[in-house]
Formats: sequence, structure tokens, C-alpha cells
Amino acid sequence: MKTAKAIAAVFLCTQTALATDQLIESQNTLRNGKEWFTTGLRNKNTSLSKYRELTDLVASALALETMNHIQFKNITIETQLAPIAGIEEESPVVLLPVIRSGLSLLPTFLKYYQNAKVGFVGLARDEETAQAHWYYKKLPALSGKEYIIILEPMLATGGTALLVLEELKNSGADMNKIIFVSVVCAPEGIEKINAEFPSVKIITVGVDSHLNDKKFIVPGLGDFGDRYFGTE
Amino acid sequence: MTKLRDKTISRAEFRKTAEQLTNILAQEAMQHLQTESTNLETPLAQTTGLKLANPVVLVPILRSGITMVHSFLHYFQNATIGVVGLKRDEQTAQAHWYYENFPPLSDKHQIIILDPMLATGGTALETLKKLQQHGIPQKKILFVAMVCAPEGLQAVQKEFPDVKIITAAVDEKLNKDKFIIPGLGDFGDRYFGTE
Repeated sequence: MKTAKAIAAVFLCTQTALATDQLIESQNTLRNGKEWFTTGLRNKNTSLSKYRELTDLVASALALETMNHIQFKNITIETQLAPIAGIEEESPVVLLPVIRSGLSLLPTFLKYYQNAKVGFVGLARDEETAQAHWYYKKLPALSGKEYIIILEPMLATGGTALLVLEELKNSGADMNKIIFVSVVCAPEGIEKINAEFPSVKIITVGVDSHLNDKKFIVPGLGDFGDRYFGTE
Repeated sequence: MTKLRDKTISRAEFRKTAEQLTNILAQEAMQHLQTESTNLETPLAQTTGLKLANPVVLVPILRSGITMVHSFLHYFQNATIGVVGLKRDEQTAQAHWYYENFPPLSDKHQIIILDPMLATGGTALETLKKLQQHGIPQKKILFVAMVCAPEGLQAVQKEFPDVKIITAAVDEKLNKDKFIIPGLGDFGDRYFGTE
């Protein structure tokens, strides 16, 4: 019951104060478009190539949504006829895909953030000992000014997400400038990030019902990485 | 290649150029794959065409190899992908595999290894050995790199003479830090901005 209540509260916030809220469903994307992407991704009969096309489309929608949560500065440019006000990025952007699934969102995000630096993290978690093993970690130098966009298609238990966020905190990142992008989330993962890192924004197209006993998101879309890479 | 080698081009430009070069390499790779004829119908008549004889598996080597995946997927839309990551201790020659996630493999599969730079060939050899353990014949493996050092080419050629290597440039040599000369610097660092 506690879970249901917390999520309801998050959604309520989303409606009233989008800009300051932690959980952002990609509302600026056409509702039907969003529904269409996730229908295809969730459908177990979707082919490998179609699944990848849909991943690119949903990544575009998510990338556009992240732009609403990044501060831009005002500049003046000239059209062929007159000067006009415009905007440009104020702070550098770092994209941080989580290996392996996060790699699938990277090419599309690089189209929107052409100058972004890219870091990579890869970690496996021993579910019995709860010890994390970092098998890969390569971050660009962080000054604390950067927006950091974490790419991880599925936010399930939130275990990996928390470890990555702790690592970023220790590396000098500004926790107010971190955006966590996922395709589908479980309420459990959202709550965990909410509890420990309330300033981190979560952008997603679907908040699902729950985790099953194997920690898979239900209804979810299966294992995102296995479906995208064809390793089922 | 000229643009990629130029140290003054911006990160965005480097990425765009790398993508263009990858497209050329993917098209070249296609020329070396086995095809078979297939019957089909146009709206007007029966005709024959070509299709790939074997299912393709892309094997990008972390980190740089993943930059080539997206372009290759345009050409090989149904390819499965096996991601591998390894470090090689040059002194002990021991490979440490920190990541390995292959789709189902058999001798029917056509493998395309993606790694922008073939320098000493150490990583390439380890990956090839691993594929051999999975029962992949050498003839079914293409190695795609943007730039190669002669040392790496020789190493692969010696141990795996039937593996085809597709590349845009064969450079002069390796320097003492094992960087390709003239080369283009560290591909991963330039592409990802981790210099």
C-alpha cells in the first residue's frame, strides 16, 4: 500500500509542478506516439529489427524531453532579415550509458547533444552478497558544472542506479544536474532513487506495475538488452 | 581518413566523419559475405535476387567498437550482437575478459568484429581465439578496423590466415607506447571526449 501511495503522490506532483518534480513522464511527446512506441517494445512478437527502430524513436522522444530540464542561456542571432532571440546550451553535457543496454540509446542522444562527452559504466551485482563489481568505469573529467544524463532503459530495483549515482556524487558531480533516463520503470526503483537522491530527475515513458520475484519489471518488455542485441 | 587524422577537428565533426567512414566499411564488408540466390515476385513478374547466406553476428569490442554498431545495423538489420570487453596485460600476455555476452553461435554464423584500431593485434587475437572456441571457422570471420598497424595485421595473419581484414588505412608503424603512427590518436578518447 505504501508503494501505491508514494507513486500516486509523485504523479500528482508531476501534474502540478513539472519543472521541480523528480519523476517526469515524457508528456511533451504526443501521447499516441509514446503509446505506440511502448506497445511495440512490449509486444513479445516484435522482430529484432523493428525493436531497434522503436528504440531509436523512443530515444528521440526521451532526448527531446531531457532538453526541457536543462538550463539554456539566451543569445541573440540574426536571421536573414532581422536579429532574434535564441538559446544555446549553458553547461556542458555528459552522456553516461550503463553497459550493456544503455548503449542502445547513445547514438540517438548524440544526435541531440552533438558536443557531449561520453562516460561509460558497467557493473554487475552479486544478488546474494549485494556487493557490486565494477567491471568498467570511464568518466570524462567532471568540474561540477556538467549536466549528466544517465542512460539505462530499465529502472528495476534501482540497485545499479544507486551505485552509479553514489559514484557520481563522489566524483564531484552536481546532484541537481543529473537526469536519469529510462524507457520503463518499476515503482520500487523510483522510490529508491527518490529516497536517497531526491534532486535527481527521472525521465521515462512508462511506470509499470511492479517487480516479479525474479526482479523483472511487470508487465515491462522483457530483458531490454537481450531483445535489442538478440542474445535471448 | 584525412579529417579523422586531423587533430584540429571538433568532437562533433570527428563523430560525423567516423560515421561516414563506418558506412563505407559496412558496404565493403557486404562484398565479402556469402550470398545465395532467392526467388521473389515484383508486382509484374517473377525474378531472382540475392540474400545473405548466413545470419550475421556483429561483435563490437568495448569501448571504441560500439561506435560502429549503429551504422552496421543499417546494413545488417537482423544481425545479432555479441558485446565483448577485454584488457590485455602486455607483460604476462594474459587477457582479462571483463565483459562477454554472445548471442547463440554456431558454424553457420557470419561474424563481423568491429574495432576502429588494430594496433598490436593483442585484443584481436584474444577475440579470435574466443570465437574459435565457440566453433566459428576462420573463413566466417571478418575483422573491420578503420586504421591498422602492420604489426597488428601480421599478428592476425600469422595465427588466423583465413580471417579477412577490412580497413580504410594501413599505417606506417607503432611507436614505443604502441600507438599507431601517424594514426589518429586514441580513437575512443577523441570520440567520447575523455582525453
